[in-house]
Amino acid sequence: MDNKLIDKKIESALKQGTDHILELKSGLWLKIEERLEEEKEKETIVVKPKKKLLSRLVIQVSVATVLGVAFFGFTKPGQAAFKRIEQLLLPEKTIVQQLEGNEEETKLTLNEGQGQKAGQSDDLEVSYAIYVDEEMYKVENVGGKDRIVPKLAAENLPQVYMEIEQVADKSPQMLVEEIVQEMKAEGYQLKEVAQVDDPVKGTLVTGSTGNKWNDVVVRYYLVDNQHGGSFVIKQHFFLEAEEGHGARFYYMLKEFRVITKGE
Amino acid sequence: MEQELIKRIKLGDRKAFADLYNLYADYALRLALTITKEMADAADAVQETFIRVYKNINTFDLQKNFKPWFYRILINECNRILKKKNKVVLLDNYFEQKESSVSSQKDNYDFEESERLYNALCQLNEEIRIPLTLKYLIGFSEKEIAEILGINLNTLKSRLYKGRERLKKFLSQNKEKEGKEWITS
Repeated sequence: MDNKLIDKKIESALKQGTDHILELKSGLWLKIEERLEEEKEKETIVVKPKKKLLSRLVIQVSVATVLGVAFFGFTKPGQAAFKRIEQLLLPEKTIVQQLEGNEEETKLTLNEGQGQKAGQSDDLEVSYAIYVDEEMYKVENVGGKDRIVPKLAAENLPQVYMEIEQVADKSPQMLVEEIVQEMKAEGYQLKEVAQVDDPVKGTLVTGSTGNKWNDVVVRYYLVDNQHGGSFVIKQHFFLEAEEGHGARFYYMLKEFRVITKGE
Repeated sequence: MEQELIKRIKLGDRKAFADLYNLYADYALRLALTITKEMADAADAVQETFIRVYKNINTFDLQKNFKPWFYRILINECNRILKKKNKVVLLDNYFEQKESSVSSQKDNYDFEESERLYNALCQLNEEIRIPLTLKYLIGFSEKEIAEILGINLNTLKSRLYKGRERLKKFLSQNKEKEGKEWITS
C-alpha cells in the first residue's frame, strides 16, 4: 500500500476517532473560567493575628533582629512602608495554597539566612528571610548552604529539597551560563531560561533528566541581591512531586525577601 | 498572531486567553483522548493544562515556540491523570498486556475502516501512539516531536516507522479479512 495513502488514512482515522470529544469544548471553557475565578480568590494570602508571637525564644530573637533591621533599614519611605515590612516579617504566617487541586491552609514560620558582607562595603550585610512550612520541612545547612528538606523523606526516590545560597560577587547574569553548563554536565536536559516575576523576581533556569515520573526536575531562581551578588535558589525534586513538593516550594518561595542590614 | 496573544495573556488579558483556548482546544482534546482513551479524563487533562498555562504564562519565554511547551504540559497532565488512576503501565510491559486484550476485541471490527484503524492505533504502545498522534493529528515536525517528548530524533524516527508499519500491516491484513495478529507482531 502506498505510504502517502497510509498517512492520509492515519490522519483521517485520528480525526474521525476523536471528533466526538469536540462536543465538550464549550462546556469545558466555562469550567476553566470558573476555575480561574476561584484561583484568583484563593491566591489571596491571609495573614492571621499574632496569636503565638512570643511562643518560641528562637523566633523572638530572630524577629527582634529582623524587625530591628527592617525598622532601621526602611524608615525613610515612611510609615506605610514600615507597616508593610512589619507585616512581612511576622514570625508566622498562614497562607492558603493550592495543592493538587485542593486548597490547604498552611502555617509558615519565619527563617532568616546567614548574612554576608555586601560587595566592598564593611557596613552593609545582605541576608534573606523566608517563611518555611515547618510541619512538613526542616532547614539544614549542607556545605554552607541552607537547605529546606522534607521531614519525611521517601526511600528510593530522588532527593527533594530547596536550597538557598548567596554568591556575593556574581550577578544573576554572570551565573546563568555557569549553571546551564553545570546542568548539562550533570546530564540534565535544559528546558527553559526566562526572566520571571513569580514566585520571585529573577532569572529562572529549569531542566530535567526526562519525562518519566521519577525523573529529576531542577529549577534555579537567580535573584539579584542588589549589591553585585545573587541568591541562588535551587529546587530539586522529581516529576511526580511537581504538584506536591514543587507547589509547596513555590508558595514558600513567594515569601522570600532580600534583607540588607546597615543601610 | 500566537506570540501576540501570549504577550496579551502575560498582561492579564482574559479575552486573549479565550482566543488561545479556541485556537488550541480542538487538538488538545483530540490528543488527550488518544492518550487517556476516556472523554472525562481527556477533558480533565485539557482543563488542567489551560489553567497551568494561564498560571505559568509568565515563565514562558516569548523567544520560544509556544506549541511544544503547551503540548508538553498537556502530555504530562494526561500521564498524571492516568497515574492517579493507576493506569500508567510501564512501557516495556504495555505491549504484553495489550496482547491479551486485543483478541477479545477483534470480533467487533464490523465498522468502517477508519474507525477500525483508529481502534488499532489506540491499542498501540503509548511510546508509539503519542508520536503518531503528534505527527498525523497535530502536524508537528519530527524535530518538534522529539523536543516535546524529550527523546532523540533517531529514536523518534524509529518509533514512527514502527507505528506506521504496524498500521500498514493492520490495513493490509484487515483488507484480506485476516487481521488476527496485526498489532503484536
